[in-house]
Amino acid sequence: MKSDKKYPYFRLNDLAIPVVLFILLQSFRGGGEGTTEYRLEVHTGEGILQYELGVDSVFTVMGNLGELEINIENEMARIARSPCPGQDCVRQNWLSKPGDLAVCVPSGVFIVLAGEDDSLSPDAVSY
Amino acid sequence: MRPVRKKINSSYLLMFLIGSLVFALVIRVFLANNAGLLEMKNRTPVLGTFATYIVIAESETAGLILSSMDSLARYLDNELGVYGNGELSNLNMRGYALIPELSSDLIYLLDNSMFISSITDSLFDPAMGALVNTWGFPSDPHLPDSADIDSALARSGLSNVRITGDTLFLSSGTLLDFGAIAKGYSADRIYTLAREMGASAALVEIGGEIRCGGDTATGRLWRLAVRNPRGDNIMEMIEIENGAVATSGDYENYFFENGLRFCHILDPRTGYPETGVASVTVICGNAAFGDALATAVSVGGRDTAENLPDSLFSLIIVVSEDENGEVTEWRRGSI
Repeated sequence: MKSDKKYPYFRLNDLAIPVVLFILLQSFRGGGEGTTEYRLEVHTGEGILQYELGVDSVFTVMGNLGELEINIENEMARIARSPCPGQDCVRQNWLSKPGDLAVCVPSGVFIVLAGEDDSLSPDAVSY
Repeated sequence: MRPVRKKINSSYLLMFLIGSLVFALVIRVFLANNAGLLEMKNRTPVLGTFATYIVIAESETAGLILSSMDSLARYLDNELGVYGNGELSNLNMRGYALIPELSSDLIYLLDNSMFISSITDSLFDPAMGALVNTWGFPSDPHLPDSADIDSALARSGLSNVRITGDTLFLSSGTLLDFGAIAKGYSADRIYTLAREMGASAALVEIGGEIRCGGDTATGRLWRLAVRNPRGDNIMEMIEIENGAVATSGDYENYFFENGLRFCHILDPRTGYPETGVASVTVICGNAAFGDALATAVSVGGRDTAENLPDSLFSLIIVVSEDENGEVTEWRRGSI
């Protein structure tokens, strides 16, 4: 046939493979609902609060023993003040990458950085 | 004219195309069905600590399941807590109870507390309420007089709990306190409720004791962090589909006196807080056993962990600290 002679290595059917691959790829992608924002999650007795890391801020949340002060600065976060006796949570350094976590056990509060890869954040903490 | 081989290849290609389209359609339908599933999360104060609930369920029922989980937690808190006016408080106040009239929750806690006690040389003991009160945990922890500790120790322990006929008796001044198993048990009960109400997957965390699981089809892998007992970072990140993780540590509730740490985990043999073990994490099938075993191993250390039956757990992690502050980690089992 004329077309076979003109294009000896390509036929219309050959388009099927990339088309099918594209359809399959789209099918798998359709179920995902990932987040792309980088944020601080604060788990308190009042619920889970979320803060953008792009804005420097100082705020307080209520724990078992009283208020905890939390700082966001230069896209990092920390527990800056806590009424707990041990102060372990305050001594924790700045959290800087997704998955970093600080826990104040007596207060029942923990903060965690959640980011583009949500799989790095724990669903729960055993303490 | 094309060779025959070429025609056969074209037919295969067409079949592959149709098959792939059908497969893609099935995937679409599957995802569309799963799109009806909603993951909801809540964190709330309960049982003197905080609880985290996560459910994956149909969007129409997820909210109801979540609120039912919270309601059950509050019910169990009242019935099984030492400070409420529920069943356990009444038993402690009266000093006796008719066993047939006890709830299935209290029966479970009594039965399994006695079982855990029997396999840990009585290092797990639910009849320690008098000692806990003497030390002032959790609200007013302090170092008591040794005479007060001796007095409370005499009134503590399962040897002060007797069963005569169908009646359970407590010796005078003996108080049951399921604080070392009730959070885990509540996590199990609340998880079971969520699944019975139709949740495809669920996670319950109460005061650090975790129970989680779900349908295989849902494919939810739970990512659980274990806290470093001597820092606020993560010591271990665990991924499981079904199971429980429980941790006991000397950092939860403690005070320093004369440079010594006194934590809330009391040794039933001495009446004093355990020393030398910073934390114990148990990964097993249910949170009640994990909770109780973590407490027993916190008191008995590695020796107790080494003697536990394999069938009760998958992994035990013991973090110890010696007098010089040197921290070591020891493990038994795997996940």
